[in-house]
Amino acid sequence: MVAETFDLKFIIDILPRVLKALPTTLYITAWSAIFGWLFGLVFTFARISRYKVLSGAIGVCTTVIRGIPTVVLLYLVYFGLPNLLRGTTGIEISQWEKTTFVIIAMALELAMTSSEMFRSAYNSLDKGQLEAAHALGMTRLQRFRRIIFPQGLYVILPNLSSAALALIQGTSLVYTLGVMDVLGRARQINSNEFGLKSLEAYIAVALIYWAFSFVITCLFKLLERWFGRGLKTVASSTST
Amino acid sequence: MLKINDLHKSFGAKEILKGVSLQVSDGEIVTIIGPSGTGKTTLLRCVNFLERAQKGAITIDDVSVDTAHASKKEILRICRCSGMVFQTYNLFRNKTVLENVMEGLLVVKKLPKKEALDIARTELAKVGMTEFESQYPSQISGGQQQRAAIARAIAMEPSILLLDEPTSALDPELSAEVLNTIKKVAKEGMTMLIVTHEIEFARELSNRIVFMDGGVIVEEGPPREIFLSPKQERTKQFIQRLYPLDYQI
Repeated sequence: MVAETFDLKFIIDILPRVLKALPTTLYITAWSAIFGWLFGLVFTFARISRYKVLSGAIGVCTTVIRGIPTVVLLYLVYFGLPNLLRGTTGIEISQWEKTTFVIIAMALELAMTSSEMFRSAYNSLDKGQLEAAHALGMTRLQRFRRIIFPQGLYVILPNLSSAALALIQGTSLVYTLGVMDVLGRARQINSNEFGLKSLEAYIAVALIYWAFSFVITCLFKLLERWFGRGLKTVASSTST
Repeated sequence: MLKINDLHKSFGAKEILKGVSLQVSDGEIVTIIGPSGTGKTTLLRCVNFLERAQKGAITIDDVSVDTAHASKKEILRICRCSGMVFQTYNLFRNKTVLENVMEGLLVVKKLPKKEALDIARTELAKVGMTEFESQYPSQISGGQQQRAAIARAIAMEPSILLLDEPTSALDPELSAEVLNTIKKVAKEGMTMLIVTHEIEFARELSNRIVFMDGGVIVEEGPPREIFLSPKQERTKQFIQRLYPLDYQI
């Protein structure tokens, strides 16, 4: 019975050891997020551009990649990409770190899902804001940096927050490739204990993911407050 | 000085401007009147390339641009020597009143912060918005937003200020405060091209009235002439409808 063998102390004991794998999880999450959102932005520009072929191609890729489970995409990139590159260009990448492939796969998926999100945020912006910026003589880049980005970011922050949480939790799939992230390390510890401490090990893992997600959620709350200045209608403080 | 030469603009198959030429001299205040849907606003928006005219030329001071082939750089130059006040104000919602006025000075003119701040405060004082400088647009009334938008436009010291129905979205009381602000700016010698339905205001403030109908300029002249003795039949009809009582004799 679980109740008889449950070992609270074991959880506390292994937490530091599992935490040693946190940098791997952080590393994968951070780089996937950076590349994912960056390329998501690039894909968004491609989709709203007037080049119909380009926007069509990105649209098709989005549909395909969003239709593939993350773990399958992970395998496709890890096992398929080196073969594909070797076959087409002769470039050999099979010696790359596993985490690199993981980041490519996670970033790809994030880019595709987030470009849809960015596009709808862009469409929701008040075009009068852009006209005012144009009339002031701002360049396209200045309009993006000063008006579109801060106003659009506020619109999508709640979505970005859930995407970040999904990404963090999604990184746990990398243990299937044998990467020693938080989950991989916990499974290893458990198997060293002959599989007798599964519950404890997974509780430790759950605690770590929960804490990590909690910190990220708080961070996004702060960002929302910062970028929400003036954008939420303030009914109380009109000073007329 | 603004010079519009033979401007043609179509939306799809619908021709909105059918060859409009218009000149506004330095310090002059020109108001465009006319029925709805005759291309008044489109004309104004073609000046600073919010709409791109298929044919024609725009000249502001020494910047002359062929609208059909204007490059990004030329469009920027035209925008930087013109200012625009919109019907819906279009203040940047994520910035305070003060930040709105400073935005163009910092980003486009690249002035040092201190200098931009001084200019912004001066302009805000001019439009009576000093006490609202740290408010966000959502926290102030439409009239106050429009006054701040005027300050934002004139802070850039444009050669010409384009006003696109600046009071259409406001109730009469708020309209009055905005119109007074515009009059004040006009007195300082700002060159203006205005589209408005505020006929009394146009009559009082303008040096010249331009009557547009069906995508062309039907008639132009000093307010007295246009309102009291219009030459064209179409202008007469329009003025008559504005002042039914005066013309019933």
